Amino acid sequence: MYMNDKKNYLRGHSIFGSNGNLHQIEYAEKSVNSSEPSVGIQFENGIVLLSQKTTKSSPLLIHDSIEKIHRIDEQIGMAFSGHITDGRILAEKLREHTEEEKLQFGNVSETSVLIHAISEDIQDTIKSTELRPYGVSLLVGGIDFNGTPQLYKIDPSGAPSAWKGVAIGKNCSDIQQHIENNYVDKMDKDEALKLIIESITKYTGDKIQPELLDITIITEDDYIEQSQETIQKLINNIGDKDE
Amino acid sequence: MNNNTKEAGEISEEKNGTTTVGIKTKDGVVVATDRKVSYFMSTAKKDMNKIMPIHDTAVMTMAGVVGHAQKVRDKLQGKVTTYESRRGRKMPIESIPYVLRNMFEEDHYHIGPILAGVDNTGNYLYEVEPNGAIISYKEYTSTGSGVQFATGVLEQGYHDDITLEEAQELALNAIKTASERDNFTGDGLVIATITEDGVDTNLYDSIPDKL
Repeated sequence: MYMNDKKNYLRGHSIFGSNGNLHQIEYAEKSVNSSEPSVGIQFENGIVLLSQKTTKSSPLLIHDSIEKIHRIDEQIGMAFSGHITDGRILAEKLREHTEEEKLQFGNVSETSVLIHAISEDIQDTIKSTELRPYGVSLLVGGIDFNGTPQLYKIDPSGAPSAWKGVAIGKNCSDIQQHIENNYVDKMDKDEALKLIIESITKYTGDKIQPELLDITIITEDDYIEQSQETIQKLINNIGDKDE
Repeated sequence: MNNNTKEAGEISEEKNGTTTVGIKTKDGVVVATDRKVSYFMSTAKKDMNKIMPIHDTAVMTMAGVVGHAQKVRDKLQGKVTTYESRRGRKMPIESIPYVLRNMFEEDHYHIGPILAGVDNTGNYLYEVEPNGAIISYKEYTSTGSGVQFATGVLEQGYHDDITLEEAQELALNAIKTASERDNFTGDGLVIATITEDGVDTNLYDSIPDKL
């Protein structure tokens, strides 16, 4: 019988499983955990975001065409891991919330405002039987009105949390461990950059190539997308010290 | 709704003749108005408080249709409170004119309020027009039917280093002149001084010689 089918709970993802879990969210998390990682680290006066574009470089691929870090506002950026198109949609939604906030209050004074709004958007898809959850985790970095850097992670379930350093995607627990072991409060920009490159090169197996990485630094006055030359230099510096 | 709203709502759908002034100083903002509510050619109420608190450290003045001004005040107070409970900090004064502007977009209110407020980012003096204009003043402004008379006084008396006390006296004189020359302005004075500590409002039945 249909009603007695043990797998019935899998038919609609808005239905709780027998353990109180939501299977589709768990699958979405799996999809995030098997895709290229992203890392965010907070330093003294800013945020550095890193995201890996693909696993394998190809001489024929135009690497710039893959965007893993989207600019949301002047001082807000979003990195993600998971389905690339889902990430783009959520970036666009974040931009819409930014516009709305500016129209409402004249400025986006706090990153957390956008986080709550996007978290609601994500949660809406979880409640609906007609939609699937977004297959992405997000890292959103921004500078608040008082100059404080903020770094948020948002799970596929929509749950937000604030971090000083955080990794999502493939090998995220190893990368996270590396950051936790090496993180110091009030790092400067260069120390944070070094830590973020170290954490990614250590766990990506092959020697990482600069064209596979997006790195963005956000401070109160700047939003800098690092060039491939700079990323290459950073990678070389790490390599030199290892030897 | 409080009694005030009901009372005035019954009185007037017509334009309220008024003079409201605002003066910005380094130490705070001074706002003053008269107290007359006019109904066509007659006076409907002689003791209206036309300075309405909308925030711990911000006020708006009532100029135009009384009912509209009170509805806008209630809505603004609501938005300010929700903002604080939602975000855990007070709404920045700079955001208030945007909230008001958006209300003007949704409904047509016949009012010409002055917004004055102080927070840790500075002292602010705005006029928001029903067409959506947000005008920020660094010196002084005036709205209402007695605007020409008040502005003349403000123009003469204002100087760059004006103190809070001098601004209070200047505001008093502006309302005094408007009361004497504008038929729809009079019946006393409401004067509010806004500093980072809060809003200090004083009401007078007739215009005093000195504050």
